[in-house]
Amino acid sequence: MQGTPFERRALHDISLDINDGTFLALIGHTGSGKSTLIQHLNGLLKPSSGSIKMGSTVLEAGGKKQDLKPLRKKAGIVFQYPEHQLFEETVEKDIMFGPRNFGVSEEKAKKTAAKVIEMVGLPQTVLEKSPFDLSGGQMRRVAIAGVLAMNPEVLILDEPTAGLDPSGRVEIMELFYNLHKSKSLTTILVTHSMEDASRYADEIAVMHKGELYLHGKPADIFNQREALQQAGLDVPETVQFLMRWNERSGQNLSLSNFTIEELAKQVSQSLKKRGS
Amino acid sequence: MLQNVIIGQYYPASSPLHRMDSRSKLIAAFFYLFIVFLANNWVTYGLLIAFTAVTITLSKVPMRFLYKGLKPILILVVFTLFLHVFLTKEGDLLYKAGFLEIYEGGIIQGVFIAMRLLLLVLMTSLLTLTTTPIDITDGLEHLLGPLKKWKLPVHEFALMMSISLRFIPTLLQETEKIMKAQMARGADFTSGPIKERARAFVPLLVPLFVSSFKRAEELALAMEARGYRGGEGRTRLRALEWHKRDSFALILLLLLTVLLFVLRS
Amino acid sequence: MKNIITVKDVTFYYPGEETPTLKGVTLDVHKGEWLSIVGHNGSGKSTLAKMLNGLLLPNEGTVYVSEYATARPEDIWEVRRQVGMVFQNPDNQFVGTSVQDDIAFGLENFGVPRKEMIKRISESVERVGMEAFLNQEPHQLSGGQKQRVAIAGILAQKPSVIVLDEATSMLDPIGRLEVIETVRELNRKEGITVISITHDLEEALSADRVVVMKMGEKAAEGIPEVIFQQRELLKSAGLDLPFSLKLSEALRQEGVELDKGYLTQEALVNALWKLA
Repeated sequence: MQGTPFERRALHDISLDINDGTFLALIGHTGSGKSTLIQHLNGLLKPSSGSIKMGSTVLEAGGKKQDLKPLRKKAGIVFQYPEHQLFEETVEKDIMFGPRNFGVSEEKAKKTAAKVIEMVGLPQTVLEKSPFDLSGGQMRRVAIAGVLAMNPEVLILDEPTAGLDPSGRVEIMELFYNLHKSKSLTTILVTHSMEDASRYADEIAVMHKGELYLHGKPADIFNQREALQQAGLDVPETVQFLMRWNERSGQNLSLSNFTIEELAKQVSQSLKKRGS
Repeated sequence: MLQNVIIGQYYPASSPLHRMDSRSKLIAAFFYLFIVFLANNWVTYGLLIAFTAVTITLSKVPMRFLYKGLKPILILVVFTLFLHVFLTKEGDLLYKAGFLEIYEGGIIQGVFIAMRLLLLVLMTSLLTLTTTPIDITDGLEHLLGPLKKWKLPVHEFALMMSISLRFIPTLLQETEKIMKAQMARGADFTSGPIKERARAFVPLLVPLFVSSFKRAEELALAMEARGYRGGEGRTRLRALEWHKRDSFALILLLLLTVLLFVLRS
Repeated sequence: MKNIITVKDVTFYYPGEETPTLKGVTLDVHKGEWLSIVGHNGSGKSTLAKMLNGLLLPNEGTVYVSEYATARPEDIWEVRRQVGMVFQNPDNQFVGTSVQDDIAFGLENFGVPRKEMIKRISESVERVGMEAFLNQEPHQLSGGQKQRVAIAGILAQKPSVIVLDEATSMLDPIGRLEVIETVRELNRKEGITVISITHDLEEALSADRVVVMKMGEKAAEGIPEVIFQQRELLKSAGLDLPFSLKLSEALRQEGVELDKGYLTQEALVNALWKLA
């Protein structure tokens, strides 16, 4: 869109290294550029300047047209409301769509379908059904299975829990977290939720107005509450509570992780110390 | 990107033509379709060209935009021109080379017909360039209103049109989204033989149909919740206002017609 | 307190279904209150919402809005004028080609004269803070803005009740806040009754009353302070627990002797401080 009235710079001067096996949470408000950024990662969008390197593949601005399939196979994207992409007559065929596009044989793709359907917590019997006869939550799982079937090394998740109820949200996030661990994936989670980021991520990147605003380990990010608030975000509730407690008690407790259990442990221990 | 596609070819501006009532513009354009056929000599064609030129100037639509609208049919115009030049054998023979003969009548006939086509397209483009699709819909609904007496679903038709207009950008956005999702799964919409490419669109079209049905269902429910019960007893926010300039424009067109009748041979 | 909506012994079957979606539901909605209805997917809460303005009619029992019965054909239009409904998907309820056309849609249906219509549109668009967007087209608006337009469309009909049927579930946090703040203001300042079908915890917490639906029946009804003490009930309703309540529980497991679960961080810090 360069040179037209519709040109709008969505991203500006972003440099970000993501190490193998990292769980990165990409946080920011709508329009902050986070969805645009992840679409660059598998060549759905191309940079106007700069380059993207994934493994051995390099995407360069102005570079010549190249076959993007290896890149797309390596980096699987689960889009927002992924159930909207289902189209086949049966769940099995739909899951096979990705592998077949990447040249996997029919037989092998079938085996993969049977494997990934269990990974997403659905029974084998679902494979023969039409995806459109399933419930909303099941459809989302099938769509996720369709991405997993490509056996990606990098899993990019664009608000994968949008529109789900709280228990559904937890189930889906646990699913991804377990996959991340068991298959040693590199995972990039686009989210609005600081809670999810604090629970699952090794690293957090905050996007604001098309720029990379903050990047670091969760503990470092949560130390900069003011900066977060300026970007319309806040620290997770466990940190909020800890700050309240420290302020009231004059203590200086810190957390080794950001779960409620850890917070309860720290607070109860400090109470016991005072009591004794 | 798809979402930036401008619907129809409306050119936003404030010109006397833009300010005209869509009804008078519709009537005028329709009327013009007929009177173009009255012209049959240089004087009458000259008159039509002058009238069209003045209208274009009044519309404040840049030639660039008009040309864009004309481009697809330009080939047709040129083709008609040559067809007549080579096939009409009237008047003096001007040129002969082998079996190729060009007569004076052929050239005149060719130019006239091509001109006629050009004028027709120019005027109808002006209608869509200076009137928003929704105004055209409103105008049509009013003009066709009397047909309701014969049980023609004029209101329903207009509502259908306006809802389609409303949802075109939404569907374009959705198309882009689904395309990207399938491309991320290795789908290829741009290369390969035609037959395979047609098949490649199934993963795009099926989800689009499914979601459109869902949208239609939800929209119907929302409309019902907001008290929709057909055209009966409905009032309208969009009011069409017939001004003096509208009557004036139509009178001018009538005058042109009379002149054409008088001056044609 | 005066009732604005009275639901009495309502049972409802979707055509062709053997088990009822609503089973003998009785519910009074008080004038001017904010009532949140929570429950699992399939608990019947959305079906109940559609009973309130006669989009669905009960097989047994009655629904009254003031003195108007949804089952009486001559009353139905008055019922729909009084009870406005905001649906889940912002796109699929936007009928008009522009903001003002959309707000006008309901008024046109009710045969409001054009002059009055223009007055009411400018009035209601101001109450939702969208006056700068009158001529904008829907695809230029964010989800939260579209929902505010939907609310303006309802306000123009001079309603007594606004029903939010998961109206914020597809929005990002900013959009959610926008919509909730708008409705809260209408509820507090103008006394418009709000019935909100929701999964959103914060929203349910700040309601005047909460109704929990379960398997088509009303499982509980009361003020949030009481309802939110019932952990198991909330979990079975697919609702998350408030952070402070979860932390209270975790603290108790660590041996801290809290007398009850607290709903806000502030209350919990205070209670802990007293223990120290």
